[in-house]
Amino acid sequence: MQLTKLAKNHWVLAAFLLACLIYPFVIDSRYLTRVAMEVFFFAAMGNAWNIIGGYGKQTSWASSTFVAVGAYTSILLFVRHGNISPWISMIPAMGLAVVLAIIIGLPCFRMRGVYFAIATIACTTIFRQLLIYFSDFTGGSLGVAFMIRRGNSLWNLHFDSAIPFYFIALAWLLITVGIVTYIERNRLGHYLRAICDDQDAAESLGIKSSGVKLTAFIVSGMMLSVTGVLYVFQLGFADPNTFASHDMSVRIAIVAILGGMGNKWGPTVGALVSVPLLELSNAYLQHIGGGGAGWVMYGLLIVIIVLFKPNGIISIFDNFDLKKLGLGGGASGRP
Amino acid sequence: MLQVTVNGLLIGGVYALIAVGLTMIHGVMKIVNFAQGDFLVIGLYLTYVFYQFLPDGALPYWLILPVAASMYLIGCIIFKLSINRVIGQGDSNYILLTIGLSFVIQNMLQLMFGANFRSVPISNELRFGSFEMFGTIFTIPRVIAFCAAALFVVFVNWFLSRTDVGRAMRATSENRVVAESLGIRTSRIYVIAFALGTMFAGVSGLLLSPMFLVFPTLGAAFSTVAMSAIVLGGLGNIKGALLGGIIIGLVESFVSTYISVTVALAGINLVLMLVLIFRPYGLLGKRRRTA
Repeated sequence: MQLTKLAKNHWVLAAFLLACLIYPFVIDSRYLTRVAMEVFFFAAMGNAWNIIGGYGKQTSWASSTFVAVGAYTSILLFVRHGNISPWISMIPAMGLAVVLAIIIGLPCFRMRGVYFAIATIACTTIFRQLLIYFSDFTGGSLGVAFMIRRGNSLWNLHFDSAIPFYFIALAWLLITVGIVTYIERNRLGHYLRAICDDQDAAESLGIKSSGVKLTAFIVSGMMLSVTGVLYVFQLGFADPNTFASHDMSVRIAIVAILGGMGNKWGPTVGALVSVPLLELSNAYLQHIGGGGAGWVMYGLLIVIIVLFKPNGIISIFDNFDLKKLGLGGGASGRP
Repeated sequence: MLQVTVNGLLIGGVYALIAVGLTMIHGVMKIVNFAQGDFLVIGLYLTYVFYQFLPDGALPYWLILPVAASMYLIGCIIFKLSINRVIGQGDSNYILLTIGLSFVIQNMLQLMFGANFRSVPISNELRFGSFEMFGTIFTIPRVIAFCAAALFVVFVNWFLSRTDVGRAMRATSENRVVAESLGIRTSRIYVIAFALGTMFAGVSGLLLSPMFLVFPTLGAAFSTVAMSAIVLGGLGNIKGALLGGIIIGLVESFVSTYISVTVALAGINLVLMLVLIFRPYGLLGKRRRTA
């Protein structure tokens, strides 16, 4: 397992962290700082997806539902119920994520393979349509936006500069990596890998596969929900197309799959590649085909990775000798 | 009530046609094509382009041959370039590949034609034509689409059970290794099956051209509906696809009439979930060990 060698290579990790720490000050561009923040958020969501999709090989397309639950819970509590702090509304957000994970998970985990994939898509679609339908409560397809907010407040998660949020996102990314590492080393991780290798064999050894999957799904959903809370306070609004769409689920899953499924650094690597590619090409190729050019490149990247590096970008580093690679090559913080 | 049922049946027939194309691909190579709706949109754009060469007021249905032929070719090319490599490599690989393809197709179309809505300039007589029977209104484009879909389904059934290629297809679907040892060139069967599936999507696009405006991201909705249809009916089963398509058409029609158009899609998916809870392998599907 050279992958773990990469992960355990403290030098690469330290270089990455250092690059992340000085990045916003060196770059000194609000836009590029926000792009990096987007990278961290998507890496964190990819990490959450990785628990169920990577380690458990249950390709879930329901991620956006959990992100949307977090986002809507916190923004509605803030806007409609007297500025309740996002740090407090994280608790009901996580609670709702657990409930939803059970509602979605119980029927879906009885299915396998493509049936599971399509069932999760069906659940997300139902959720999105309900968000649009109950427009009195959720603002319909227009969504909810914050009133104008002023001043810096960590309690209300609002800052004039992009830099504090950048560090919050970075911290949350590191926490999610920590959670994934913890799961990887503990019983849940071993069970998940056993199920993913051969579900029937794992069950015959006494592992209750649906229970294990459901636990992983709940953990993953809670992490996505928290990310949704942070993300919506950074973005300033919540609408079904940004948060609850199928595209969002796809982007989350693709971050992890591009980077490398079942690898705790995979989603980070995947986000470092895919998010800047999409953001920058949307920004600079805007005039070509109404932004279509950026998405063509994104799609081609997915196709190329699936065809030639099915184990993800991180598997490119498998064949490298890290000592030859030196410190700077593997993980630069520059998206 | 009767009107709602008729509307549902008519649109369900078209969904069934898309779903049959999807089943053709899945049945032979065990791949669910998440880009099927985008192939349908390619068909719509091809109709749009070819229609400009026809005299004014001509029926778009004359284009069936050129559209089908081009779609077959496009299917072959896409298969050879990409799908070929992920057969039998597990679910997530092909799901991801076809999702990537769908991004590429949607945005290539957007690059070529722009994001604006376009419509095939068909005469209004056809577009809004209708006739009345048993106190219900039948719109002509839908009736034609339904009949064509029914014809195609009958044709596919005949093709699979009576022709050599069709039999070879079923054999490959049953067991590739055995089929190969019996002298069937399975790699060719794969190409044919995929290209036929693509062709069905394109032809559905042609049939839908009088009813829908064309824009690059139209396909996503059809992909979801077609996938729901084949899963509802049971994967790899032409009759299942037919049944699934019609049920979905009916559900859509009833929900949008009696509740709200916004939740029609939710209704379809709710029915799908309910069916899957009680029959995890679809209505007509058989349990198959995948591990």
